[in-house]
Amino acid sequence: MKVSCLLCFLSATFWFYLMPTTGNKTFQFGPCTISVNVNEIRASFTAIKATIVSTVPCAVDVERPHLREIGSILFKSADRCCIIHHLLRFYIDKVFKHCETEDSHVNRKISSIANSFLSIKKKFRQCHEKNVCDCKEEAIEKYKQILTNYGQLNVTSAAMKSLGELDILLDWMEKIH
Amino acid sequence: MLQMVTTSYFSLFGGILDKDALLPAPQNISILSINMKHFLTWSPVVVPGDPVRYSVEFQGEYERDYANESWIPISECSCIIVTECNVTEDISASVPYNLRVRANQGSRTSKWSTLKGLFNRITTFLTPPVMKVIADGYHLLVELEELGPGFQFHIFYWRKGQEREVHQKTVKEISSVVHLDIMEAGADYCVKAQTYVETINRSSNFSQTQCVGVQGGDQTVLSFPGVLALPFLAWKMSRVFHYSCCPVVVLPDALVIVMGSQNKLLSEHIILALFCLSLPCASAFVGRESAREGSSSPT
Repeated sequence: MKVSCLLCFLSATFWFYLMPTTGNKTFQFGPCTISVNVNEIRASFTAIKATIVSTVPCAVDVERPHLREIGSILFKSADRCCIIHHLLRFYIDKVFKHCETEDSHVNRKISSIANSFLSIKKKFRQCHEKNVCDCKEEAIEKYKQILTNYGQLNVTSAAMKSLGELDILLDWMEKIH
Repeated sequence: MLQMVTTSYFSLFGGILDKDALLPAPQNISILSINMKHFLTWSPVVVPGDPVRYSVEFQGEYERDYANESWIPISECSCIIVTECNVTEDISASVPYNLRVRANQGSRTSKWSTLKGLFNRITTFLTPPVMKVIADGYHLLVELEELGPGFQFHIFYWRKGQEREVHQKTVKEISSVVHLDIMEAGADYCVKAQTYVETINRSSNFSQTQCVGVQGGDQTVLSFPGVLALPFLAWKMSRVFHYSCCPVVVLPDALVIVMGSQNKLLSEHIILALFCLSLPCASAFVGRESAREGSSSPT
């Protein structure tokens, strides 16, 4: 159960280093400068939030004991690039594909978010051709922990829960800026 | 006879006579993308009988590479009669998308017909903004056609003849009219603009340059008070200098009596010299002068 919130917090770092603009926002992840259209992701998410949240069983509860611990890593600029890159891959490889619903409209919005994440991941790939993120042992251990915990859960529920918390990340981002 | 004709038609195009056979697939699939609005179009499937309907699906790079090459139906374009589908909502990330369409008529369906080549919204055609430059008195205004959220306008303006000094203003949200500058009378100002979409980091070509100057009517209205004010100010200034440096002072009654009316002018000049050395006092005498003029004029 901790996983989704860990993911939530990790994902929040997406939005951490934003420039105060209205459309694309620019993040500095270690050596990589990545622009993300946060508004588009928020718009897609807002359209489906109610449906997503309602599909998550109550049993998938929220626990946040490790947030500070994870956060202490994320705030280190050296690890941020590594963690975010891994997190992107995690969402794309494991989360979105299990978020399919019976509602065509919802599936289309999830597709929108997934393709947006993919476009961010591709920007990371371009950056990595020149600059490679250093992944320190602590960051890798945390990521492995996420994967282990995720594997122990009902995949669909965990995936939907992770997706359903996207607005927490966005709100957190807005607060910071 | 009609049946014979339709049969020949099918023999020619597909060689299929079976009622349940496949419909011909839609042809000439293309995407028309202008200003981040994307429309899929195709040629109609012409067959006799009930109207042919069409359904459209899309596939983003995510679906292609990570979700088993799945396709997602666009419900607004499911079983439609028209040969056009607005796919703007679903082409929502800057990755290559594929699109496909198929026809159906009753129980008969066609094969999917797929767009030749992938479509990425970064290739959308951006039109130069529709712009109207307005001179409202001395205010240089520009009116731009609203294109929706996500569109910005880079506006460049300069005084005609001073092309080296180009000013730039970026407008992120259009509120009907944008104020650019205060114009100087007698000069023309020129404006051009381009559309910018931050999402894809691309700009359109520039609009045609439009130039305006301060309008004649407004200029008259604004300068009319100025015409009146200038003589008034000149008169006022002359009075100030007059009071300050060359005050007209009046002799005290006692002196007037002593020196007599013949010597009044001379005595005034003497006292004037004294007052020019003590200006602060001049105004007091000026006040007295005006008070006396009324009473002493008969003498």
